[in-house]
Amino acid sequence: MDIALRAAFAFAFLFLLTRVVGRRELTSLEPFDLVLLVVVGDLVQQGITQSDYSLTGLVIAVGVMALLTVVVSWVSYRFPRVRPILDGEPIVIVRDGEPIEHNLRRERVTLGEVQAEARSQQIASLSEVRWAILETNGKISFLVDKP
Amino acid sequence: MTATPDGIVLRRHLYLEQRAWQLYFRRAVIALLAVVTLAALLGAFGQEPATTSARSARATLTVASPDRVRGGLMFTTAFTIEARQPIDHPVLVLDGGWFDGMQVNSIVPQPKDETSVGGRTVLTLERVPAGGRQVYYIGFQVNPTTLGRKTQDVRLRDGSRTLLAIKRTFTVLP
Repeated sequence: MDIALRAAFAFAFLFLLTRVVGRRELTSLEPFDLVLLVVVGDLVQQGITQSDYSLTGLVIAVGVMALLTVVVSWVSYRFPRVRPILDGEPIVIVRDGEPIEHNLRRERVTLGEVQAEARSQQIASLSEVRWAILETNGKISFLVDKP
Repeated sequence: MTATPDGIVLRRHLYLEQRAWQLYFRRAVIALLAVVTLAALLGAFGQEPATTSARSARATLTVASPDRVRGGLMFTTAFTIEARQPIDHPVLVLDGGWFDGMQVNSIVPQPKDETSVGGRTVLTLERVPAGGRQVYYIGFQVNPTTLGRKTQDVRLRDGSRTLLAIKRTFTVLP
């Protein structure tokens, strides 16, 4: 029982963290972020399984994580009112070529990051952009004027 | 002015109406994380050694041991006996909380005898002459599943006569 409770707590804690840390931070995997991801994984494992090296422990811990993932997904699907809490909501960061400073500041996204993301999608200037939307998965969608 | 993309509601996704609470919630959680980190730096979550002493005309007993630890941690407890008058048959009586849910890695030096009376562990030690000082070390490790508060009272006896008593509580955090 202990390992199941630990896994459930770890799931809830990580879920909360990913919701508050900021979506851009979670999608930009710089080398340091990659190392951090591995380190966090190791720390979480120690907290959940501790000195349990058994297959049973593995099945319980991974099973709880998988089950809770399905539960969160089902709740999000079944109850639309809860969806913004569980999944977050998109946020408009550029409209008609004009960056929305307030929204950028709120998500801690710099104009330089938006421009870099636009360049990576073959958009030379934000003036071409009708809408740029920071999606719930942290990616930026650009909608441009069609020629 | 351009048409709004499907799924985007300007009031909610551009002007962020009724979304202020999300920002405050995020800030509250981050503040909570900062408080937890600060509390950890200040030693609120254990492993800092705590020293407790009891003194009488005949002897002083000092226990140096953390009073707050986390599951799986290893630590050493030192019992120091300083005798002003000789203690011919020194006996340390340790509450069950010392060993319940704990691993004992070592006791140095080994007591003359170890037994259990009424749920307490009784360690019979070597004679302590007047002015003498003996230190007994016990290496512990907390079982990962151990949790909660325990009583760790210690009594120093000379034979069956209690000389000193120390009251301690010990908390194991998850």
